Amino acid sequence: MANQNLPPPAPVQPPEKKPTVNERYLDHDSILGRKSGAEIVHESSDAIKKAYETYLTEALNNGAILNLNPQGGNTTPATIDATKLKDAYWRVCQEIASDPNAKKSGDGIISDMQDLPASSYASLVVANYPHPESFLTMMHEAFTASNPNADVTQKQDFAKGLDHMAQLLYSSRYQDYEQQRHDMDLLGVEASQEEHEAHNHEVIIDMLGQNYKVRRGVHEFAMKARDKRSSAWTSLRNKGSSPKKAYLEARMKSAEEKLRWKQSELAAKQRSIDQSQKKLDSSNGWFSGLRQSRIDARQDKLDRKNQKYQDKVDIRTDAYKTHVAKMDGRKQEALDKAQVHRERYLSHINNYKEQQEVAIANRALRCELKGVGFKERQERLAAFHAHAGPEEVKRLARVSHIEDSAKRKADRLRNRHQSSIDSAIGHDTRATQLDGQISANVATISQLRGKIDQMQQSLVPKAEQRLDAATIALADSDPTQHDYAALETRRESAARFVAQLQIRTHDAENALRKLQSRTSKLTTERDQLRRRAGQERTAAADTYNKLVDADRTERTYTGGTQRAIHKIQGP
Amino acid sequence: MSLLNRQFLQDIGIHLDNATYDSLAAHFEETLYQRVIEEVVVEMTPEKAEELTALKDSDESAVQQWLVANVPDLEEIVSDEIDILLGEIAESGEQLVNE
Repeated sequence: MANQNLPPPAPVQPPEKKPTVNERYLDHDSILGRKSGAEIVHESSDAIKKAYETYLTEALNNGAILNLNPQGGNTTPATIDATKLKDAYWRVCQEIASDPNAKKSGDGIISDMQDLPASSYASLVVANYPHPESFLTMMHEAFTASNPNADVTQKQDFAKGLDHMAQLLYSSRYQDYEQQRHDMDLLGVEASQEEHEAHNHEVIIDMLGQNYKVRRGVHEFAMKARDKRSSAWTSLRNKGSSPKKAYLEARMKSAEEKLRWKQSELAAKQRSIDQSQKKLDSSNGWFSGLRQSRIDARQDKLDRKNQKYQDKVDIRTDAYKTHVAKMDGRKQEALDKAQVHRERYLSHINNYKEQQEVAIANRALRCELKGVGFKERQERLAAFHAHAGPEEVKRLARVSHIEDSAKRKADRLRNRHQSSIDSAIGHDTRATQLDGQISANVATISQLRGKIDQMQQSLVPKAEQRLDAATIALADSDPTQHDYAALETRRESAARFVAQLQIRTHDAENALRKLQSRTSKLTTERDQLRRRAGQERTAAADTYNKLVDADRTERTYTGGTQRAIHKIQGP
Repeated sequence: MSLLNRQFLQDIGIHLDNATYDSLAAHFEETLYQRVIEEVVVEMTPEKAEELTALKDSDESAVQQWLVANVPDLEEIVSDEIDILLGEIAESGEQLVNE
């Protein structure tokens, strides 16, 4: 029984294999050159406060701290003011943040807290604080300071909570340790006993921290799914005890009860009938026939009643049995179906596990072929982390996530390459069309030039000669003579013909100029198209060279992922 | 195309709501690529690893080109790490199926 001066809870003895906190974290922190937990926590006090508030609320809601008795058995109701306990926690966090000896593991306590379920925060606190026993003592002191008037029950509850928390934490750490060792084995990281002893396990574990983390993350997701499945299984198991079954069973039992109850009543009546029959058989009095018929009537009535109750029992028993059989059938059907699913799941799981084993063997083989031993592997990783820094490592990791970007880049280049080729072809086609038009124009120009030459050199001089001759003939003739009018008409006709030829020549010259101008423009346009087609072809060639590189990158990155996608989805 | 898809999870008996699935998928990819880069580093000589870390401020395409040019096993590494990670999830699925 605790008293008012409850001493701080005695530290819980850790399991035998538990490494000390210093062993776990001092070495690898110094190797990896990371910030201390105190530095990180101090810089992020708001975030950690929020994280602890969340943890505390969930822990209280789940009864993880105060309500659970670690030995099993009865639970103790929480009687501590949650706000005060929260204050106590916060004081502890402040103490941790200001402690220069606090150490940090992983990528930072804040990011760890964001990645882990609230139920793991407590183990983080202990893991990141070098003296877990002191932590628990501080918890107690903080509680006492913030609850100066706490009564015995409150202090008892708090002590139980601390005690349980300590057990949970040590147990959790021990399990974590074992789990991480198991992870190492799964990952094919084999080390001799000497190597294990020569190198702090925790360095290795930290190197493989991501693996551990995803296991825990996946486990959390899987547990959520399991809750749903458990609920489905419970429902399945309860199928046989539906309300209808209970109702039918009650009706059947009620009918049986009524039958038993009535049977005693009917038995009394039967005895009365039997006595009457006996009396009648021994007498030979008047109206014996009438009395016999009355006895028979009573017997009939009794039999009918008996049968009625028996029938009711039979009917209700049938209904109950039919229902039970039906439910059993459905249940069996559901169980069979579940079993089929189960076998299918297991088959898939085994396939993935086999692939995993092969991949682990591949990885180990690659290291072996390159002569990278266990020690060197760890040293390389440590050097990389120390040199690049955690944020840069994350960034480089993201860069390695180039499947999509490589594909996008290759697609973009493919489109550009095709577009250049299409443009070049388009320009060439148009240029070829223009070539045809230009050739036709040149032919027309040539014809026009021929016609103009013909008119200027032959037709016009001849027409002008005729006009001159007609003009002379008209001038030499006598206007009073009868042929004067004919000469005059001939001269006018010759003059019109000359004028027409001149107009036609002028028109032909205009047409020739226009056609020459148009042809010149077409030629310019054609030449430009030819040049642009050449430029597009050059661009396409440049793009093609880039595309070759991009294709190689894409194939390299997507090759691995594509195989995996095929494994998941089928080709 | 996401590597982790619902069909895979359903095949191994894990059924998740959308938010949980998205969260798991993001977690999966982040973990995968972190492991790929670490595995790449492990297989490099220290000199090459230094070259890679020197590229930490370069643009993505430069880092990509460097990786492709200097890590001949890159495709295999990516494929193996995916198989290992999927195997781990499948193990969680086995816990469910066997319960």
